[in-house]
Amino acid sequence: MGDGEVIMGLTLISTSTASSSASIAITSGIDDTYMAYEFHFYNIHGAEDLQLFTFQVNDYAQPIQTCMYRIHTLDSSSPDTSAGPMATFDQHIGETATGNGSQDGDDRFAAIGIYTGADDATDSLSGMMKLYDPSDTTYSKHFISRVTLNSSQQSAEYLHTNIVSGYIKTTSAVTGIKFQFDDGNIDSGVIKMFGVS
Amino acid sequence: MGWTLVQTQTASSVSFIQFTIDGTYDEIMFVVTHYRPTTDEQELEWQVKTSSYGSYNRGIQSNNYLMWVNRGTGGDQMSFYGGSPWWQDSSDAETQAFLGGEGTTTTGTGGNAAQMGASGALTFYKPQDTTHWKHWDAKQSNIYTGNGTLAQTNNYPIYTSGYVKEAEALTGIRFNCRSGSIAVGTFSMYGLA
Repeated sequence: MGDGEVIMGLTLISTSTASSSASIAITSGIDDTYMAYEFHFYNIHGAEDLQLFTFQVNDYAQPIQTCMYRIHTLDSSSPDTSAGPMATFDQHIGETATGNGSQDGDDRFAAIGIYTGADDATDSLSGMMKLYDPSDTTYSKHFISRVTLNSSQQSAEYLHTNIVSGYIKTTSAVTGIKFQFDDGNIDSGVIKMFGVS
Repeated sequence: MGWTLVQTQTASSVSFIQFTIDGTYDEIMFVVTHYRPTTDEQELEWQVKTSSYGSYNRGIQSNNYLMWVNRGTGGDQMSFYGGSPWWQDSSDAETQAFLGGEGTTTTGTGGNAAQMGASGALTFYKPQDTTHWKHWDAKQSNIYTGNGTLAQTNNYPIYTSGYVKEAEALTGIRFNCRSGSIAVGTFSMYGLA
């Protein structure tokens, strides 16, 4: 294999760029062409501080179950570290639009990033979410995400790593997905969708 | 376009491996396979330079989580390394740990030196960005032995994440051992547009 050679595996399907957008919805290109789809996030910057970065699919009211593991640390020689399960922001089957006191907005959206920053221009989130076999009509749809974000809180800077896995409890094909903060716009950022082969 | 192989370098008792980052890709990934240091227990680390800082000493904030299990009957624990160079704040400006390292142990049931390697992948998001700090994440798996016994021969999957606290474009990366040289290892750089 020579330098400069393209390694098959990911095919770019779409690029979505936020500009003071309420959400980013990808409503085409998710079908049975690929067994898995990856959503890559580049410097997602919200308009509001300390929000959740979330997603939903299809009619944006699907039952979703998640399990979140998180690590956060303060940028300091006294780092205020914490790691472990973050049940507060797990999503549960049967969630209603207004049933979760730890979320603003539509609570049926599942969190994949928490405590996002907006105070500084450098605050943002990057990472990846993979959705497996969305066109299947027999099983629930599994997904896993891992995002890294830096979030300024007054003069303090925090690093957050959020790992989320879960499933969408539907036997219908997933054909669309929407990403949004639980409050406020997506000021800027890019989401690329790739097909995995 | 999928991942594109940009360059491969093979280490053989070298002090460091360097790559140029030119901003062509929105994501770059470094895949290192079968790393071993010349000196026992020296992890592989990295640092970057930017468009106006030519030295490999930028501020990095990082964290990690890990699991470990030994070849005997122990281990099976989830934990994290709580100090530099695995977990650091940006004022450290140290090299950031990437792969665990085992070097020359050749004795005992767990002590075949050729098997004591580490492999992993390190990804940067938007390294050419000039507004935000540079997020990265990495995962690695390594084999390490304390004394060559099964009970002290461990597998460590370690996951690290963080950011380089620079709004400038990244222009280069250097990999080196904590101490000593890189005995063996294959280093490949991939780009994703």
